[in-house]
Amino acid sequence: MSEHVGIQDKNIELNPDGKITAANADEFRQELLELVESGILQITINLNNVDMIDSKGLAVFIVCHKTLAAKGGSLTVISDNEELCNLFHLMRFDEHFAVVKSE
Amino acid sequence: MINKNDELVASYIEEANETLADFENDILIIEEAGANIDIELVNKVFRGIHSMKGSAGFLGLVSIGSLAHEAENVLNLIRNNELVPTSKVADALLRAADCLRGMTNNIDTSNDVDVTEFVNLLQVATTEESTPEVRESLNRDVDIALPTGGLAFVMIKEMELVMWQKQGFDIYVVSIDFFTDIHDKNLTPIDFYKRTNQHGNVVSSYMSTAGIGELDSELPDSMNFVMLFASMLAPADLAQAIGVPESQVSHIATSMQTNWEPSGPKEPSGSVESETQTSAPVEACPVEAIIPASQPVSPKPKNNKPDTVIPTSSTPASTNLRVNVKVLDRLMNLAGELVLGRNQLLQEASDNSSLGMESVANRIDQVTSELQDAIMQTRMQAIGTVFNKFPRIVRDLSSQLGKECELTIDGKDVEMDKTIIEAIGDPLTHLIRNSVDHGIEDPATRKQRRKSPSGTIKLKAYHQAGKVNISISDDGGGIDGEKLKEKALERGIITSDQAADMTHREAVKLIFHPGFSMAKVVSDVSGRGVGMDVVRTNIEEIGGTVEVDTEVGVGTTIVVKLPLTLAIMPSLVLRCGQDRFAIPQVNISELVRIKASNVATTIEKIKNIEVLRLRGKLLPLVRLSNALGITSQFYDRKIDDLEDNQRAQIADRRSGQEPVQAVADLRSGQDRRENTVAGALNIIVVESGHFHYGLIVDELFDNKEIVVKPLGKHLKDCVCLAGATILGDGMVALILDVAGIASHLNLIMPDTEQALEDKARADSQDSETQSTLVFANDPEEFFGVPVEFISRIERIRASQIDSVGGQDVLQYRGSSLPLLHLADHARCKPEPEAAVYNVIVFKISGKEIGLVASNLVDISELPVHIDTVTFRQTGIIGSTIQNEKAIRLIDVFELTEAAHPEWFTQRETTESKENKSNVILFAEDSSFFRQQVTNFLQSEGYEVVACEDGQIAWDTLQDPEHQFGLVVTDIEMPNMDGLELARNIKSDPMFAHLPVIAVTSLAGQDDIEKGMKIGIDDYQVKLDRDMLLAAIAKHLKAARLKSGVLTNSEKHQIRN
Repeated sequence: MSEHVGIQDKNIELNPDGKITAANADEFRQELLELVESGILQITINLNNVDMIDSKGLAVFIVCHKTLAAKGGSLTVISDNEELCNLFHLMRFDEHFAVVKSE
Repeated sequence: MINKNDELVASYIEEANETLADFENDILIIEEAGANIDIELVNKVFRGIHSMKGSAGFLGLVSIGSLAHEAENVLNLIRNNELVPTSKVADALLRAADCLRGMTNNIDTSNDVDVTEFVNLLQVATTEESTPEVRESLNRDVDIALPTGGLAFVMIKEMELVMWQKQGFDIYVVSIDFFTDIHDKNLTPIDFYKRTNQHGNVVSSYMSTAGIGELDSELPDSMNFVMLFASMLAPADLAQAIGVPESQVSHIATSMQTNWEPSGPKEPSGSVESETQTSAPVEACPVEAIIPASQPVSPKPKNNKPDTVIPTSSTPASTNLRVNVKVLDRLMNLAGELVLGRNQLLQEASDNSSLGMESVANRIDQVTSELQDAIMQTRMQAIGTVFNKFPRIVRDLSSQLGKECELTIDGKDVEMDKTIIEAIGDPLTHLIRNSVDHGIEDPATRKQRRKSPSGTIKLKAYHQAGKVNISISDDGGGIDGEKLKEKALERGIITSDQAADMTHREAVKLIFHPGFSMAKVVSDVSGRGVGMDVVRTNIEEIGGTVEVDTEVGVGTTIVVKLPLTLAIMPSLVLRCGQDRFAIPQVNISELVRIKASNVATTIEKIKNIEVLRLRGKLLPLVRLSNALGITSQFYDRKIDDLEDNQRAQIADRRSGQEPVQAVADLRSGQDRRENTVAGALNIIVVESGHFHYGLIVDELFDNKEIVVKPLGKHLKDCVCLAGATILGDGMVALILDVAGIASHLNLIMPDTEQALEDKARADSQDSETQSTLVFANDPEEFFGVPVEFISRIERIRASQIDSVGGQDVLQYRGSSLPLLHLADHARCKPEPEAAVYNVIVFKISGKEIGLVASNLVDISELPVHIDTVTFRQTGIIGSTIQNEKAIRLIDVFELTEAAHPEWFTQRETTESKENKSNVILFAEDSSFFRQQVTNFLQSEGYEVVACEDGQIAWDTLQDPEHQFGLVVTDIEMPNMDGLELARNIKSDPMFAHLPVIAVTSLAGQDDIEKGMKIGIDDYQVKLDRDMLLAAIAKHLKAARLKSGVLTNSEKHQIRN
């Protein structure tokens, strides 16, 4: 579902678009799982093109962070949406993984 | 835009007003207590203002929110003992409360109000009065614990919480499940963020990752998020705002701040860090859910021993519940219906008495009554809600006026219907203001009067006789009735005559007169033209009354009497026409029944108003049938034989057999109907405020507890009706509004009082009235006999009457008394058959004769003006009117003569009408006698010149136009009495020859001798016509003999 912007070493930046909701969250999880299983430890998800994330979508970030953290990797989320960044802050996600506000 | 009608806003306004109502009072108490604060009370005030602020924030009421916030800060400092509630602080708070109230009541524009001034006031008060508190201890960590002992958060900076709380925020632990609370409601986390952000600040939070797997397992169905949240909202509002059940919002006890000392042994039993195994959010106490008690984890090591703070339940354990008044009203209505149903059931059960049915009915009866009481209670409020604002009013007002007043309040707990409570606020405020403004004197004056410089106002509520009395008494100057009178005179409210007649009590009542304000100077306190009349009107509207008791220099007590409730009223059920009506008991002062035989005499008419003389007072009467425009119906109940007979006659007449009577022509149709119906009269004496009047109804039933139902809108103009109710038999009865009826008919009491005076004055003028025995053979026909003519009255049995040769004779004391029946000689109805008769005995020409009368009515002082035309016939001299009834006066001589002409054949009669000497001068001040004597003298062929007193007679005598042959004079007369007249005549050579006959009731031997000395020729006792005529004839003849002028018959007699 997401366009792989680039893969360097064990890093990957994903650039999904549209929605991350109950409809496709599991598909996104599978995709992330495959990436992690392929040895990738640093995942950056750019949400600039995502216009909607629901609770299921949010869960993806949690499980992703959990998985990466367990393997010694890390998750970075980039978004130009201020509210989304604030939500992540409110939920203290930013204490666990990087939430980057892009311009 | 703030919509006033929005349910939320409406309930906010209501709540805010309730808060503010208590606020003032509490602040005053707090102020009084000074540094020695009552923590409970401060907390209560704090909570009130806090939730007011919170809700304001929720509704976007910015100005209210920020001012309330500031007030809350101040209160917070007070309860932390960081600020002493001096009067300056209290003032600032009170002024803030005023501003808040203003804004609350004009909620639409509240956001435009600039509250800076008040905020500054509060801040200044705070900084000036604040006592520096130890603050270093604030740098401490606390754990937020749960009731079960688990922790929701650890290592929260106490300072941070305090900071939030200082700013007026409340701290909550809020738990949200991202699926049940967000996802399932078709919301996104962003929506949640927006909401949360709007209503407060997240102090700390965490996502419970328990139950959330990694990428290789299914995505979770539950994500529990817990936050420590600072918000200004009340728990319920916060839950609603964020969109979670209220159970997931836990308020962190604010008492943490009042109890800084580490609270000791309670060790935290859980840690946030723990990866607990909760699978789903637990609704009841989600905070608990993340730290199950079953899995104790040792606490994190800390530098400071943490305080343990117990969150209070989100819905504090309260015994009160806020219920929409409409729901209560509906319950009330249903209870009313139930009562009606119960009444029907009871009636039905008593009619078809079966034991089982009866016991069921009784059970239902009991339960219904209890249910009704309970529901009634839901509407009851303590009167304290009204009283609470008065200390503030008295405080402010007295300082404004430079007076010292102390208000004591008693009976705050007395409960009354909400409607009444709401309605009496303004009137009571006015009365209290009056007491301070007009009642209590300034300290200097008080000192002069040797009173303590501080005045006392006592406000007291108590139960009495099923009503609630509220008394407001002051020890002030009292009300000066004389000054009131002056003022009233000045303003043309009363006339000087009225003023002179007024008692102190009546004068004091003047304060209730519209537009009457006693304030010497129109202050901004009172005297604004909205006076006591409005107070009275308002109180009367809810069925209450106002009484004033005052003494100059000592004080004034005003007692307001109010009903407990308006919804269910004990009422008297009555019938008028074919319909039944109810009158609330509170309006009824007594019931009066007037027997049919007394109706004619007891009911009088003044200025076209029927009045009842009840214990010396005149009571205006209203026929309910007239007021409502329905036909009243006579209820034919047999009481005893005598009355029954009369009634039978009435019935006959009503069937249309009534012969045309002269009397009938004189009366209006209405009067006829009234008299036709006039069996016994049932009069309900009702009071509406100061006003009493009698309501004549057809029949009285029982007292019932009735449920008041409002009338439809289309009937709202029916001023006579206050509502409707359903009776036990299912029929509707209308509830009468006694005040409405009075105003509808324009009953004005003062007029009646005036009329009473007029009447009393008229009554006192004896010369204008004549004592007359009034009797009736028929309820519609009244006859009168001057009491002077009556020698006695006998009550006899019908069996004592014998008929001898067509002449009824009463066997009586061994002899027989001839009886007269009026109907035999005059055109009138015969007396009805009866077992007992009254016989009026006269003495005529030395013989006794009895007149049969069936019903003696009364001895009345009748006006002496006699109509000698309308009813003039044999035996009837004329008629007079009393109480709109024509009373025919009987000429007993003529009547006797008609019956027994043979008795009178001996009497000499004059023959020549041309004879100048037959002109008689007659002096008599009683116009009744003047007329009667004049009449019979004229009928005997004499010419009579009648004069009203001796002086006029004397003047007339000297008028050369008249040539008199004889003088007849009364003795007792104004201006010149009969003796003087006689003396003048006898000492004047011109008239000394005239015979003078004195007619008097003064017939003692001394009097006669005295008269004889003067030269009076003859004495006649008032009033034996026969004897008088004989005397006149005798003296005229003697005079003619002297002068040698004799009539033919006289010559003839002399020859013989």
